[in-house]
Amino acid sequence: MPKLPAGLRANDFGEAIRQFEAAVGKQWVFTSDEDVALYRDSYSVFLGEPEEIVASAAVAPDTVEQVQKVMKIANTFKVPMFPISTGKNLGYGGSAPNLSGSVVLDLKRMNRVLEVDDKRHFALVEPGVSYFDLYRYVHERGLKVLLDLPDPGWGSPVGNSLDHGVGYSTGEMRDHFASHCGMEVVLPNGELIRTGMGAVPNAKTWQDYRYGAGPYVDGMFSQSNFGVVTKMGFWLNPLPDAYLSGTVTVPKHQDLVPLVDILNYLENSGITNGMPQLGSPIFGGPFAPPDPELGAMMSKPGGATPAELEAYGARKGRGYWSCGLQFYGPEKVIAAQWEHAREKFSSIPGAKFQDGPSYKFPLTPEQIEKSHKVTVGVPDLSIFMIGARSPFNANPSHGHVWFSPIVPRTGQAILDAQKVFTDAAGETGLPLLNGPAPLPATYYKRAFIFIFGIMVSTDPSVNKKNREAFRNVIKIAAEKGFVEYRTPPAFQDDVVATYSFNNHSLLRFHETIKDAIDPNGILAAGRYGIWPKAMRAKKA
Amino acid sequence: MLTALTLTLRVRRSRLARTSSFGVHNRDRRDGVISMPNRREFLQGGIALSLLPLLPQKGLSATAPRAFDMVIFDQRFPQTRDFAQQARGAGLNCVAIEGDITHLYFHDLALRWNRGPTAIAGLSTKASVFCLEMLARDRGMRLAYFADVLDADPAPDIPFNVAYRKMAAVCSVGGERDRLVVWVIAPREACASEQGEI
Repeated sequence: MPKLPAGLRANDFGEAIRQFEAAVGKQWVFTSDEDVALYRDSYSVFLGEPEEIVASAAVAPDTVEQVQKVMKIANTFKVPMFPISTGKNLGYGGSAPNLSGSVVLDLKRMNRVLEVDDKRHFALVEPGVSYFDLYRYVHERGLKVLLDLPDPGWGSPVGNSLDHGVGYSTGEMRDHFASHCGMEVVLPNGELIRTGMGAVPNAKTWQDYRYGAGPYVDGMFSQSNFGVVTKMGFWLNPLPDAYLSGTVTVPKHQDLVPLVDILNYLENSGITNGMPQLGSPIFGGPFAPPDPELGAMMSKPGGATPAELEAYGARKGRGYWSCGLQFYGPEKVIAAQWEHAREKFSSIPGAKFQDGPSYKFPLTPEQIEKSHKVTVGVPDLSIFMIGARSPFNANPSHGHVWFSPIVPRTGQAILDAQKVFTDAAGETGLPLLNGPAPLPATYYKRAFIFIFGIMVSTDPSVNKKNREAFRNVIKIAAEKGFVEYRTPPAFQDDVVATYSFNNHSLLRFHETIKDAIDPNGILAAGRYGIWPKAMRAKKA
Repeated sequence: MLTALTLTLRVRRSRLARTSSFGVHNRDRRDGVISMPNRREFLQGGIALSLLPLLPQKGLSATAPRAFDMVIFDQRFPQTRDFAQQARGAGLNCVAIEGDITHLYFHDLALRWNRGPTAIAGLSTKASVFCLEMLARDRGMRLAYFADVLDADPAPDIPFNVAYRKMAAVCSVGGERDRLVVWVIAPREACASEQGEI
């Protein structure tokens, strides 16, 4: 028997379920143990523990009108609802709610690609559309756009962007929320709104101009519980003529500082438009076989000094740091951009360059097979093969959660953060590090994200210890100004607590909005620390 | 579709995918370790297990070719290739993967499932069936049977390259081997009763 929402009488819950069935069809309301279990978080850090957050039921509407009906019913009976799009947000909560007993509002049936325009380069989709669905739509019609994709690509553009997900192509598109344009939202009371130009009945610019007139409210519906997004527009890359890549390596530890400065200049000037990739070739990469000489240096008390590592790198012919660059555009243009980038990086003594793969679009199947598919706009699931047993993953886990703090985009900040996270891992025992010199991801053009995977264990005592350590690391990192951009429900209260300026005035503002537009507190209670008034009182 | 199928799969509730949205390798974690089934369990499991080369050849010949729309095998491993050979001999539609299921999903299963839920079975690594199950559940299917049955034969150590991720999964470490699992994914309705007909 699924766990019922707290405070809700069984009779009322049963009547709500009956009304949900009348609204969407009986076959689209799920109450059996087997069906509801599908909405558990596959990567829950509460694995096997009574604290695991689980749903009570699920309802899957097919139209926006059905979503409105469901929300009105939920308000009538004060049933907590938790909307998901495709529910594939693994590592950040999956399809499980923040509040046990919630009814999952599963939007997977709303999977229509409403429009893709390859002249104005946008798409309008429903929340159940996956990146695979959108790719198929584009591919079958030969539309000349390049999708920006997360990895894996089975999630939805709507869900991914609303959780501030990211992709792998151009800097303008990798930030999926920033590249959206226009929303349709069902408010907690069932009322329907459209944002930006979507609010103008005869406008043809909903996916062209995002602001409309007056306050720009779209951000309120990301990482929040203020509405159910039922349509969303996204800007797309025009299909480029060509792709080119190259790598620069630099020999000294402190070269990281000018390396990042130059990278910032190139990216923020639009000279390199693909996703950069920082590396530390001196350590051979995360998947290299162990080198006894390096191992001996690193395992001595205090580890190897930068000077020792620089000398080692010189002997081995490896740079200390590397930066892979990717370019999309006309062949001649991106060749010139790569040439200019080389000139800029040549200001670092000892910088070396290596040309990488280059392609013309559309790629051949053989070229796609050899590429990192998401960088050329092809959705992929092969990342799950990394989770299999391999030389670099001797003990496959049972899922993971991400610890992903934002760090300033400077070389010195990387070095500072490495020390902070190394110390924090040592202090808390959290198995945080994935190498001697962890480097941040570069999804965002204007900020770095360190991303550490914390493995989930079958042993509840290990998970309990890691949860406690995770919370401590959140605090330690926040003291240095490194706070997370995204986190699973288990840690959302902790992360939001670090955004504490002026006695948590931002959270209090969010709560004020919540109380105004969702007085019954039925929608996604607790998401990113925003709890309804009644629950705040109980928590206090 | 279901009524056209001739075999009855005794779906034992203890084997049902009660918590089927488990992560990679999470079958063990949700329902406790499922050890290698004994012969009785094989037989009770029905057709999926009768596909295994561990069973006598007559077990295969007794199966109905139309029981599954597709049988998926990971062709990187000798055991799965043997399995596929025998399954083909029994008239089953076998499709090869190499760990990653993206190509199979995009070019076949997604289109097939647009027409309605189907029953599929396979012998693969856990990572592969995890992906398949997560996708299948959105189309009205469930993991109906899952058993951890075989150590994969060790494969050559192949350097990792992000462009060749599939190779990463065939490596073995220090004598440890990946596990192969036999599984059935079936329409939800077939899993919802003690004895679903698929």
